[in-house]
Amino acid sequence: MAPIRSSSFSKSALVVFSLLLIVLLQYEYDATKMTLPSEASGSGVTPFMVRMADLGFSPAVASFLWTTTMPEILDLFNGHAEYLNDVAFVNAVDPNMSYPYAFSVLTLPAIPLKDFQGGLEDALAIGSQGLRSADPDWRIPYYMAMDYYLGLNDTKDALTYFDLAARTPGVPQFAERFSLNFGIGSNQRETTKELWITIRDSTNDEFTKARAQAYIDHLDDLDIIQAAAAQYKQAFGVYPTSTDELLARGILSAIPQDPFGFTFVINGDGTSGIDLNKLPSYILAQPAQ
Amino acid sequence: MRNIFVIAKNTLKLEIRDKILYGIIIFGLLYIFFTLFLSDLVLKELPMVKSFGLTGIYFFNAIIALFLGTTSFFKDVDRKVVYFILSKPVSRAQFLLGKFFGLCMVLFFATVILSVAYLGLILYEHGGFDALGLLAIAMQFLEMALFLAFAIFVSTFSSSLLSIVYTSGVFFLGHVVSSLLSAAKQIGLGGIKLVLVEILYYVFPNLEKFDARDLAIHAVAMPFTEFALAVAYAAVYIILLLSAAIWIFEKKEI
Repeated sequence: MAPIRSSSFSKSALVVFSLLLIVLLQYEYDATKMTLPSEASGSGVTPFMVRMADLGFSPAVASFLWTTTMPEILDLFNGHAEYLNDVAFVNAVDPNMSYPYAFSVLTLPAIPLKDFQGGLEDALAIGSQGLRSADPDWRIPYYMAMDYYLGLNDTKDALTYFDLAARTPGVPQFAERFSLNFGIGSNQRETTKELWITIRDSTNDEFTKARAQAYIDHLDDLDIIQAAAAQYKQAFGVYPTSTDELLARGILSAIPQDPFGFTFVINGDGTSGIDLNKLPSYILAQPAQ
Repeated sequence: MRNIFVIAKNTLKLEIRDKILYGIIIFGLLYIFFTLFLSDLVLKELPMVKSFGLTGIYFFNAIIALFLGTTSFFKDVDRKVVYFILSKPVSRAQFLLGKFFGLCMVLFFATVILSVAYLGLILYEHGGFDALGLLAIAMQFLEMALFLAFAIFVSTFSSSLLSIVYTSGVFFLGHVVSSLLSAAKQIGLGGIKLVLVEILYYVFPNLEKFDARDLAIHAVAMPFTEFALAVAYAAVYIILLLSAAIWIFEKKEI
């Protein structure tokens, strides 16, 4: 309102001042960002051009592209590997979109080797890239853990990725419960414990060390309960039906406190496990699905 | 101030009766409805559903802003409304400012309708109340206000058709300048060429800073300073464009 009544000089001054202010604001805006927008390494020119011309619609463009890329997974059964190039394209357009990574990690290893070679390796490579670039999504490490365990028989890496899945925000109850208790069966427990001991002793990262120790304690507690149940049977001829009986009969002076907050149970065959009906509150706070 | 408000109110009344505006809004609503089917295609992945919805709101708001910004002024000239208004004790500055605020109100009206549809969509897809999405839409609205100011600015010295061309060009370039500078640095551009790109980057309306959609879609943190600077940037640019528009309009013979 004021500029219209002012002199020609003040109008010009306003224009110059505004332009300077715009430059200053742009400069300050850039300074608040860590880096200028830059292309993810390894991607070609084409995704860059798409991102350059998409008017800021990268997530939507990537989502639209994904609707056409996803069905191409079926072509892998016929040996056509366009899916891999196209999923790389989608991920380059919007590296944060987690679903294409998770979908690839889950489905690629399912393609029979006679139809497509290297699906498992591709899945793990895409998964690793997803863990670096995408939004936190429990499905990526969870499916990677399954790939390591079922595809490569690699329990150590499976444990690590299940643990990562259990710690990812938004992990559903079933996945968190399963991840934290992977390998606790009485016939697997020793191996699982040894692997966690290896992980604990071979890392310098304090968080990983503490996390591994929690798993070791969890497994130790299960061993203590199971040993106490065996002792109970020796003394009374039957297995106890609950851990309370171990206390009542003086076999244990206290029930071990599980580092993950699970309640222990004794199965009919005397093995120990966790109570699926009394999950810790932090797991119940997670989405059911 | 009262004159500005009256003109803004009349602009709102006039434009809101426009069937073309309703047509665009209806298409926007249809698109958001269509997103329900798109969401099935992406197996109801919420980030993807949000990306479709927010993009739809942005796209149709941009069409509305382009349509309003490049036609409203010329409609007033064609219908001789501008002569009638300016024969009253109303300055040309008040007229343009009234037009700008009136058009912003129309855009706000359209944004509210599309936003309600979007929020309903996200609720239906079990995404809860998308507060961050609303923030992203607010930032989009700010960008559209700047876009409107530019359209009004070019309308004061060019024809309706050229206004559409210029405004569309600014819309496109406004989103490309960041990538241009980034690309220039990546390929190692130096000397005068880099300076020219930098001048373009700093002086041209940089619209990428209003893109807060990643905040809603990917929960990528956007610091308050970034918001504040983007708001300040829009405010300064709008003041500059409207001041320039007023200056040109005052010198123009009508």
